[in-house]
Amino acid sequence: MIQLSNIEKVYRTKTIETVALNCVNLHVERGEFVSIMGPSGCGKSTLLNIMGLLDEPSAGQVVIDGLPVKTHSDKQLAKLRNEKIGFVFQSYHLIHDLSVVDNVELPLLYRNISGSERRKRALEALEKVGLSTRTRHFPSQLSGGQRQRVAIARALAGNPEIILADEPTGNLDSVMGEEIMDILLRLNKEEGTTIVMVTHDEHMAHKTSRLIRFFDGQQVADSLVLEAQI
Amino acid sequence: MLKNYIIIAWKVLQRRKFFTFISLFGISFTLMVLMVVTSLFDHVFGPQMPERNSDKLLFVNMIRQEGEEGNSMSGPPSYYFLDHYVKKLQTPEKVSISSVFTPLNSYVQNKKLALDLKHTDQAFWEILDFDFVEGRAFGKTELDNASHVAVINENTRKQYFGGESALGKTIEVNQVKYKVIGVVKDVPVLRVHSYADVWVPITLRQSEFKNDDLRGMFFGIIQAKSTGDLSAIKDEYARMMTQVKIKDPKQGTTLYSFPDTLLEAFARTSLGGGRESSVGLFYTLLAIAAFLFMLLPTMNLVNINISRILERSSEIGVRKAFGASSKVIIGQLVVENVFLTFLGGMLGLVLSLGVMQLINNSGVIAYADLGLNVRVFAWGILLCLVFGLISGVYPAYKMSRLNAVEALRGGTK
Amino acid sequence: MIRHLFKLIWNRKKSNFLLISEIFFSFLVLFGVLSFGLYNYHNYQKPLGFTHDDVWLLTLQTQSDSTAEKLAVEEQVIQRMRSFPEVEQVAFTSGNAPFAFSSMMNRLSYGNVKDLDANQYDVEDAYKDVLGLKIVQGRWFGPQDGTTLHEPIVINRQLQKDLFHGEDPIGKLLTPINDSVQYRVIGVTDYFRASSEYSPEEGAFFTRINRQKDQSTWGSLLIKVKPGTGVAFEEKMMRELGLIAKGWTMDVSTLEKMRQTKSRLTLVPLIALAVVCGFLVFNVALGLFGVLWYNINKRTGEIGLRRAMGATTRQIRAQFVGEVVVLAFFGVVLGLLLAVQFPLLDVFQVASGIYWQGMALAGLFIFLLTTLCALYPSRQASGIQPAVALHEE
Repeated sequence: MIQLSNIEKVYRTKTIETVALNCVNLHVERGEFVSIMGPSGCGKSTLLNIMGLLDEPSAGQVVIDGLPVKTHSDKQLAKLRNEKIGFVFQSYHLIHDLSVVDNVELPLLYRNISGSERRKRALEALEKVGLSTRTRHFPSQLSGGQRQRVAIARALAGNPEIILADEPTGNLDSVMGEEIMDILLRLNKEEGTTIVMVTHDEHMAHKTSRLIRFFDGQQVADSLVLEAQI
Repeated sequence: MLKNYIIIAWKVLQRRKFFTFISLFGISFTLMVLMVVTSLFDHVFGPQMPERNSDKLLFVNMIRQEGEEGNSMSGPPSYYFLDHYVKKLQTPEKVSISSVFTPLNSYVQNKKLALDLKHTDQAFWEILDFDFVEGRAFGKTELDNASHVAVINENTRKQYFGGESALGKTIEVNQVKYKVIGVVKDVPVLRVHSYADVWVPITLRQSEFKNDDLRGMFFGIIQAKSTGDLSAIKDEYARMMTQVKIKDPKQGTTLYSFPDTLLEAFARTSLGGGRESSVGLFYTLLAIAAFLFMLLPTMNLVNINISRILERSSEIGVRKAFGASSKVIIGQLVVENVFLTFLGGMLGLVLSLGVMQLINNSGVIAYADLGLNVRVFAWGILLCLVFGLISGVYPAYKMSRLNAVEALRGGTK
Repeated sequence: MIRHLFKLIWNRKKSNFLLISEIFFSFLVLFGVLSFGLYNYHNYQKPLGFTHDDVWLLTLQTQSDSTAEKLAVEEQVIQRMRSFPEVEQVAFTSGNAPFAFSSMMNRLSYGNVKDLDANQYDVEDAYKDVLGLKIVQGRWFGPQDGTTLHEPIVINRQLQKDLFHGEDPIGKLLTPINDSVQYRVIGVTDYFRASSEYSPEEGAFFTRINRQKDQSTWGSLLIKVKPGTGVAFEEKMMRELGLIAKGWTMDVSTLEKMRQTKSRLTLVPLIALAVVCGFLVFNVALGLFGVLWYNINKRTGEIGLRRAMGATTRQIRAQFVGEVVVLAFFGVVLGLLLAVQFPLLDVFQVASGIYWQGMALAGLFIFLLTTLCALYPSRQASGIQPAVALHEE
């Protein structure tokens, strides 16, 4: 599904050159639930951004569904992000001035879909995360866990093949964190959605099917958790 | 503390140069327009050459006769009325009678000069303070003899005599020759009571003195002994008006005429329908116009200030965290804004000097001599202060209510 | 997408309130100034209906009380004027000569039209030739009008329209409000706008001066001189007239100069207004630019998110320009609500077309200006790297 080969990412300023990723090779298969762990600043988020086509690698190749994206135009990249990928962020990134349902509609806005169809799909997505009763609220009226559920619904609304989640439980207490994790696991199991999740939390990471550890921009371990548990 | 604020304000201004430019542009231009208008106002109504001691002067420039059926006739008073009634008043120190100026032609070296001619008496020169470039005014002898002598202004000397000394030379206006005995600085055309290009003895129009109509083509200027006497003069004038005999009641049975200050005279004719003094209304209209004009720039400045201040929310958060009260924060932000406004005001002052020069040289207003003086400057400072306060208080208030924690995080939500 | 933008702006109406009201007031200012400008422009476009080249106006005044003497002097003056080879035509007129600061109104009634205010011009027969008036119907005054029962008048086309509504006016009788005689219309001129190039077209009519019959003096003499006649002749003329009218005050001016004075009276305030309005709007544009720029910098997170959700750079740019256009839309709609009252309530008696044009132009200008202000900030917004933007918050 997504194949990263020999990815390097170097941030250059006038005085300093920081290597964020160094020769990363990673292949995410369809239907996997991958968690990426590692200390702060080890390049996890950078990796996720590159996988989500939000950032370009300094070297190496990203291949999605067998097609290298290097030569893609801005428009083609946007289309891929819009149709294949869903994002969930640590700080939710909801738009304050839009209601819950309007926030969820956001990815559909960049497709040619009628207003009523958008609304229908957004409501479906909200139902999946159990927020059907809060569609008219504004983000500021919701708790952290609810906000993250809205963000997940937003990622689902576009019906993506893969969800990239950057510390989705990072801002939440353990009870809410569990709730979010349950939703993600259910999606992976029932809908077959591929999920890549960056996390700090060992406990959460061990619930996923595959765990990748990062240290200083390098992949240091890759294990199939599920098998180990069984 | 104030010094501290101003140093911070200066730093803030340098940080966002573009915002600073927008603010300064708006402030300076707004204040420039206001200052030019103020200067124009002062030019028309303030004490200026030759009406330097205008706080002791009253002007009679209209008499209005109204009938019962609403018919009315109004216009400048006659020589008879001024001589027979106004000159007899006890309270004034002096009363002068001069004619309304008449536009006349003069020809010199195949060139035409349009000159405004005014007939004046001796008191005219005593009450008004003309700046003489050379020579002198005409006096009792010349008036008694109805001599053909003239005082001309500098511009006429330049046009007619090429700028050389004109004393003793002859100027011909409307086919009549006058001997020049004095040259004065140009009087702005907006000073209707004293303005002219050529001033000649009023006795040259003796034939009109006998005409006992109330309306004619003359102005009266009353000089009070002191500023405090003005209301006494007005009272006596009003009593005198009840004694005036109406020769021709068919034209109206009620008479209106008032000794007015420059501003009253203007407001009375333009707004008061010749009856009410309407100075209050005039000021109200001016204030409304100024308010409407300042509305947009103020809103603009408020808008920019909000952005500018929001940007500094973390600084404000720190200040709050270290114990600054909302009041102190508001104070700081308002001081900063007033400082900015004064900077803009200085710029506006420079700009307005340029624009005044432009107006003076353009000839739109004949002999205009707009300029800055203490009065206009003081108005400018006041306007700056008002502008700065208005545009600074609201954003500062809004900011001061910011929660310290959120301010530290840099957000407003 | 458009609905989405409206929703965004609407939900953010509190923080957008100042921007919207700024646009609202800018629109009103522009509407006012543009309407004023358009009004004058439309008037300026209409023909004056006369030619003022080589026409001078001589005004004569005396303090003398003797009517007989005044009449005699006026007669002598006009005789002398006619004898100058440089002079083509002369005609006495009432004080409201073209471009003079004087007007004379009379009220006329005909049929259903009651008390219509119209400019009255008392003129001599030669007036038509001095000013080159064009008669479109009927005829101008002639010697045969000396003995008619009704006073003959010539009206202009505007008066014909206002008074007769397309009816043939020739031979119709009119009653003026303050006169005992009745008027009989004998002719219609084309346009006649004498007050100023910028004055609207008003109803006007001419009455005939018959110096043999009525014993009144007129004081204003229009003189058509040969082309190229200059100050030298003027001086000679004034010197000779001075010998005839001893002790009179006389003033001569060219109509061209009077026209300039009159047009300056309109243009100076118009230019001053336009400058002030231009400044105000420019100021608002700068402010708008600054605030948009700041807002967009503040919304990098949202921009990053939208990019992540699949928005192209072009869509981001379109969104921000779109938001500003929607903002302008709210401001303009509010402004229109107020501006529409002007033509509906017929304020200031200006043709409603001018108000509509003023509204259209002001609206167009506002949209253009706001779009222009939004272009740079939104280009900047679209250039934001999504990864960086998302990371910042």
